[in-house]
Amino acid sequence: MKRTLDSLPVGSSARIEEILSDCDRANRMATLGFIPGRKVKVTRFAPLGDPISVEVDGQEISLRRAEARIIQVHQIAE
Amino acid sequence: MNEPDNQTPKLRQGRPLVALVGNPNTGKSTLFNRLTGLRQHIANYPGITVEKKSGLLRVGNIDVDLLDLPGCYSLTAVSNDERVVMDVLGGRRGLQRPDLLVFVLDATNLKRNLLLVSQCAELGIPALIALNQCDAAKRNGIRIHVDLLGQRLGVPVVETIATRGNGLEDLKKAIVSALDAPSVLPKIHWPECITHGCGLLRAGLQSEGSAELSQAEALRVLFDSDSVFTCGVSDKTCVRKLLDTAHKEIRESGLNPGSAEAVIHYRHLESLLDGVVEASGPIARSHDSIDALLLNRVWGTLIFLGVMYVVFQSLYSWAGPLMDLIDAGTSGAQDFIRPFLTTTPALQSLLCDGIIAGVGGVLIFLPQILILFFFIALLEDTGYMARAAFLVDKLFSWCGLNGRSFVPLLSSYACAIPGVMATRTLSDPKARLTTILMAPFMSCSARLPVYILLIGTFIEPLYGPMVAGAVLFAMHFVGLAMALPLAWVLNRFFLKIKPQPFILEMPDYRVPTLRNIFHRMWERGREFVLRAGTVILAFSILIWSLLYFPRNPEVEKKATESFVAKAAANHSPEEIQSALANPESELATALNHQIDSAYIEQSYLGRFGKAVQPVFAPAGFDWKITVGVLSSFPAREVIIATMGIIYNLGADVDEGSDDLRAVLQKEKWPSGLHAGEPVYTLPVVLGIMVFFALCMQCGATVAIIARELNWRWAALSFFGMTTLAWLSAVLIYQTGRVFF
Repeated sequence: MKRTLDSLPVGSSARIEEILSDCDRANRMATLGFIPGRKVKVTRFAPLGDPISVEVDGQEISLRRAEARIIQVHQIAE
Repeated sequence: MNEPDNQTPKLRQGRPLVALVGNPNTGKSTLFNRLTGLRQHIANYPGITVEKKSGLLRVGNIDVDLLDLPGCYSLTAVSNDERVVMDVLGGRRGLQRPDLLVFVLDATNLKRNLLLVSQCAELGIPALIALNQCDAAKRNGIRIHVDLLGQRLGVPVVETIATRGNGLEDLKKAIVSALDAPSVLPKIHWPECITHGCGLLRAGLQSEGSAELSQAEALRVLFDSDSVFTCGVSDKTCVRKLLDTAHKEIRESGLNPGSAEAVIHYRHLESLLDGVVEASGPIARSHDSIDALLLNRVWGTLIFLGVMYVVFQSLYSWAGPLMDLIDAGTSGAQDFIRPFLTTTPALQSLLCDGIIAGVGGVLIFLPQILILFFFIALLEDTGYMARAAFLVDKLFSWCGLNGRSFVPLLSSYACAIPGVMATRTLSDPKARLTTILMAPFMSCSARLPVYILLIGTFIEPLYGPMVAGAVLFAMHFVGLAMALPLAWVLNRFFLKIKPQPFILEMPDYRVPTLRNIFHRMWERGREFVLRAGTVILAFSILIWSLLYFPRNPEVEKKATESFVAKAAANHSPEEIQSALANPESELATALNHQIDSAYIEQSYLGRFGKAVQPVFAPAGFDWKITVGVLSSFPAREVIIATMGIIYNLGADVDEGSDDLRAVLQKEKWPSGLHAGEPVYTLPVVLGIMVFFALCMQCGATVAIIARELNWRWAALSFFGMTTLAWLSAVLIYQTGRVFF
């Protein structure tokens, strides 16, 4: 099922498909490790719901939902 | 080994320049401190508020200039930090290009760390690798074949543990031999569409008369159009057109121009690291179980509040005794010097009330600065700071600040000086700028005496302690309630800086080292005293002279005459004579207070206050309040002492003084529209308090903002806050008059 990273529930995993943004922003996300094909797991939400924390390529990264929204993913089973 | 394509440093004049490059949280600064000791120099890069840390590294009899570049994840030029890295590595804007790059890599996350190395390889600068945090990698079950890594990268690799100082000697030796026999990193093999795109950019820009781009710079521009500024190209529209063509071509080859760079680098790195890194089973990360507690919705929030309470208490209360000590030292020094200079009263006052008081006024901030940076270093080194930012980001994101704004704003409730300095922890320039501008709005402890005096004098007797307490509490939120919407407006309409995504890496939890913490405290304390301190001292001497001069002796004579004439009503001339001969007598003290009051009224600042009183008239301020307000611009707590002088009570009154309270309650307009009515009506009192809540009455804060940003922002902040404070006071007085 295609969706964006911000819409995943805590604990779910997905594979990154594409970064839906202009070249500059996409490049920045990609250099941080959000590159197509990689697995990403939502580890937790902040107490107020935003930002969210995800695990990608063995590192834990926190990002705001607004930024997670540009990452298109395909949810996968654990 | 690969051949370098820039000149060998041996041919260079002067000391070789070595730069430390790496991601944030790799221990780069710790390594820098270890290598240079205290032989460091901190300045700003020209025209930009990014800290430039350089130091001297001495190996045997060889001296090397070591530069600690800001930590960054990639060469993408989004933040000022990253721009500086690009500027230095490209030798742009008059900066010296390093002769050798020492990449400091976090061994626990080698692949991500190597991305920056792989990007920098294009620059052809000789390099070596310091593989840091090897101990943590081993603990996490990661094994790295260092020799194989060195072979694959073509440059020397040294293992270090910066926090313990392990591997330092090896690293020093490696730096010296790399300067002697340099080797460079292998460049990546780019697909045809990308090299073609670079060619297109280079040729296109050159034919437009723009600066010539190197291959490395063309690559940066190709993937990140913001880089044009760091690559010396000024014409962005021309770049845009060329980029569209180049990106189209990349897309036609089946690559996404947005992620292509990272994809290609990571593909290259994966094959490079094949067989180099061995992980025994799944990587065991130490922080998962701690995070489950510290980031928990309930427990995490409670722990956060507890931690912040300790930080705040230590600034607000525990710094007190140290500050009292500095105060006592200042007045001790004044009392010691005063008797030696009784024959030259102007020099006596300059030295005691201008210079010594000014130096004391600088040093008084040190306890809070040192305590705050103790906690900041502790929170950052343990890895908690990123978690704290994660927990509270939502509270600030709507108005353009972010989770990292919390600690600076909280500290500003004690004092804006350490608060503004603490914004160094914000890497996003826009959020940092906004946080700095909002910090002086927080109700600092220097405002408290004003609130206590006015609430105690006018509100408590009328409405009782409950209301008084509520008003005092509310006063602490006036600034915050004004600052956050203001930040939103600033961000929405005025600040034309590109917003940066708020992305945090959650670092592993680590045990901090005292050495590192004390280094941070020393560094910040020294910087404050040397840079901001001099400006603050100059301010206080200036204000002293405005309150002291012109010092016409006629003033004293007239004041004495009128005092004696008044006293004659109750005392015989002999009584007055003998009382005045004894400086300890009640009458002599009262005379001195009268003379001080007359002098302040006749001083330049006093005359200015009288002259501008019409400006404050719409807020209901008389000339005495106006002079009090004006004299407290260097430091707001001064108002109590100034009020004491103006009302003939001497400077030694405090906010609890019954005499001062009684005088204020009785004060009436001598003439004019309100002649005979009390000056301090409720709307005036509220207006004064709100004025103090919103006004930038702190020379030290102006100086520190000028230091952290520039004088333009400092002036804007000063005039903006003063205008806002005036408007609010006028609004309160004019509205209040209708009801009271």
